[in-house]
Amino acid sequence: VEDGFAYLALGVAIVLLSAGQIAQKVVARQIFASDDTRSLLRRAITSAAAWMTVFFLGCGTLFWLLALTRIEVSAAYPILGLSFVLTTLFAKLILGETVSAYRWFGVALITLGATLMAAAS
Amino acid sequence: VIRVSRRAAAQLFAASVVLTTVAQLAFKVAMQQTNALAGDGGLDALASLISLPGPAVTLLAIGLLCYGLSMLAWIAALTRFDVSVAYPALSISYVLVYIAAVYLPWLHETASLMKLMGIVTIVAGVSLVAVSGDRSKK
Repeated sequence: VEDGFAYLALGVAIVLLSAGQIAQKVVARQIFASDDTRSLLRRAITSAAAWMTVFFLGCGTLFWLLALTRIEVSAAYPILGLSFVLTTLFAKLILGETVSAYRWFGVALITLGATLMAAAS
Repeated sequence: VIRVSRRAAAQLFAASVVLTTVAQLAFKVAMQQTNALAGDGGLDALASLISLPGPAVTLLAIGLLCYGLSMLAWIAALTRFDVSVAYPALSISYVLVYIAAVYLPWLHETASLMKLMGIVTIVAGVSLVAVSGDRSKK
């Protein structure tokens, strides 16, 4: 039951951290590479994407730390590899990035590699 | 407007990978020093996070600082790269964490053939993703 709780926390962390990546890309577009003449800080604090980034990554990190109290980092870190698939999927569906078969294959290899590392520990 | 050249974006990406790796290792060592493993998980684990010993707090602070700097470098790099390229490529930090966990004396994790195969597979995957990102820009 205790380990189950830790793995649930890990799953929640993966979804939150993936959402955080998408929010960060929006921040990069809207704040860093924008023609807005206001200061960077002013642009950041008035940006919904920036606050969403803080929320997603903050909560995601909290759940990640919670999971780490039960799961060895050498096992948890590779499981976090599923976030690569989720982030790529979100990038395609939400941001409209073009993900070629080539790129999907690379992401699949990365996830496989992470799984191998998880299985080894 | 902040203009980042593609070359600068690649350097910012590399800096972000290293900082993320340092943060992960700092968190790992910090968590080893806690009695979090003795609790029941859940609220007990949260409570043990609050009552950390001094060195662990310092390590957590270092980890958080590295995360913060890493995020700035990361967002600047994202002005140039697709997130579906940059984020999967971040998995190269697994290679760095693995090397550090095996070679740093206070982590003393064991090396294994299977982990090495995992590393090789990750490097192959990151290469494919990086090439696909390069193609999409041309």
